Order: sequence, then C-alpha cells, then structure tokens
Amino acid sequence: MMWRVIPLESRDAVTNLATDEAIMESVGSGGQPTIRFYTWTSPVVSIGFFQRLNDVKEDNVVRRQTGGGSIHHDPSEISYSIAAREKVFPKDIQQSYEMICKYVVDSLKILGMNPQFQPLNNVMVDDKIICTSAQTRRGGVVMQHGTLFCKESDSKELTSIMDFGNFDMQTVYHAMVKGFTSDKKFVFGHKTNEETELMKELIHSKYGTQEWLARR
Amino acid sequence: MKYKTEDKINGYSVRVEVEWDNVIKKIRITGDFFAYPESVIEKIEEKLAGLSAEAWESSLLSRINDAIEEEKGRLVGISMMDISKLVKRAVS
Repeated sequence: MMWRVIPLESRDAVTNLATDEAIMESVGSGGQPTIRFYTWTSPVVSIGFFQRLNDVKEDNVVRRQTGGGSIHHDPSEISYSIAAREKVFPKDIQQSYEMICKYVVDSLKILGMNPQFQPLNNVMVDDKIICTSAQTRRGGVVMQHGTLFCKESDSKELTSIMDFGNFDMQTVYHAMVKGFTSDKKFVFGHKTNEETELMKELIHSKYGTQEWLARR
Repeated sequence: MKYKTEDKINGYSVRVEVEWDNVIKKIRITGDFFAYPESVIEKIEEKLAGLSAEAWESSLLSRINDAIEEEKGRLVGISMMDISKLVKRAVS
C-alpha cells in the first residue's frame, strides 16, 4: 500500500477541517490513504462534535466532525490528520487510537523526549498532555486528526514542544514525517482537483456556516 | 418545563437537557465525549422523544439500547446506563 503525505501547509481553520473531511471522503471512494500535516493561520478554538457552542467563550470558533473537547489552536503548533480504510487499523477504538498515537510517540522520541500514550487519545510527556487527537469513522474509513502543542503554556495539564528545547517548526515537522512513515511506503503529494472541489463545497455548506457551528 | 443536569463521567463532561411535559418533548445530550458513529447520539435523542412518564422505568434504557443497536454504535467513556441515569436525574 502506497501512502500519500501532504506536506506541511498553513490554512485557516474551516479549510483545515474541510480538507480533512474531503480527504476522508476521497479515501472512501478508493483514493490513496493519506497523512497530512498542517498549521493554523490564526489562533482558533475547535469544539467537539457533541459540544455546545455556549461551552466556549472565545469568538473565533469552529466545530469539528470529531468528538472530544475544545482545543485552542495556535499558528505555532503542528497538526496531523491520517485517513485510510478501516481494515488498516484495529477494529477496537482504543487500539486504533493507540496505533496512530504511537506515530506521534515515535516522532517525539526522535526529538529526544520520553513520551507515552495515554488512553483514550493523548500523548503525554512528564504526565502532561503534549498531543491530543480525535477520530471519526464513516463509510469504511478511519480519519484521525490531532494537534501537537508547540506554544509555551503555564497550564498544569498541558505541555509543549517548547518546554523541551528550542525546536523550530521544520525540525518538528521532519520528525513527524519520520515518526508517521517509518513503517510505510509513501510519496509526497497534494490534494487532487476533486478533493479541492469537495473541500470548497464543505466550507460553503458545512464548516463555514452558522448552522453547523451552532448545531449544539 | 426545561430541565438540565450535567456530570463528569470518566473524565468526560456530559450534559442532558430535557424539554418535559409529562413526556420527553425534546432531549439534547452534549459534552466532550466520543461516540461512533457520531449519529448514534442523535438517534438516542430521537428515540427518547415522546417517552411518557408511565413508560419511563420500562422503556428508557431499552430505547437507548435500540438506538445504539440500530446505528451499530459504540460509546466511549460513557455508557447507556450513564445516559439513562442523567436523563432520570434531569427530570426528577
């Protein structure tokens, strides 16, 4: 199986979420299994599929297609998404989170850290969350996205790459490419025209709409 | 009448809001939990709508179960029992 890796790109929040869904749809129609790395053009909070919009106070908010809690995204951080047919991953939800989070663990080990997977969806360093992820399954496809915190924080629960060294974004990104692909054959590639069209459609009809944002 | 309750279950926040008029007119289950496929939560909300006070004890859990079976759903971190308890607590 040949994977596609979409290199680090900086996009606004609705574009990021719509792109992850467009790629998931594409994989469901026979498209290439894909790993994508991305950042966020401006600070934004993403809320989980089941959360109430009223649960967050911030103005710049988007709603994910995945469950889980609200995440503060920052342009300094690096997010990943991975989408492939269900058969590529364990059927058990927790085991599939573990398999994908292991790629993050491997990436952080390359950077000299001592990370650990913590069920259901976190990667920890020194008992603090450094990466959190959320997964959805639809149409025979698993899509998981997650974000690696890279901005210094004084939180008791979260930590960041920056707490372990003055890493630049390219160094972290290259470690992530290695961590995610060491067991795979892959080529770097970009979105297909069909995926780009679907992404635009999803921005217009879903992620960019008040109806979607305020659905709960 | 509108009722609501919320709780932290296995680290996940779950909130149940019920519009109640001797039957569940509308119910909303929200929070930072996970469920697969995501549509299972809307299916549970749909199945619980119309449930009367009389059918309460016998049907609450079975309707949640039906919704999960229909969607081939899996809840993560929270259980059917947790949802059932919160619905009861919201209205009581």
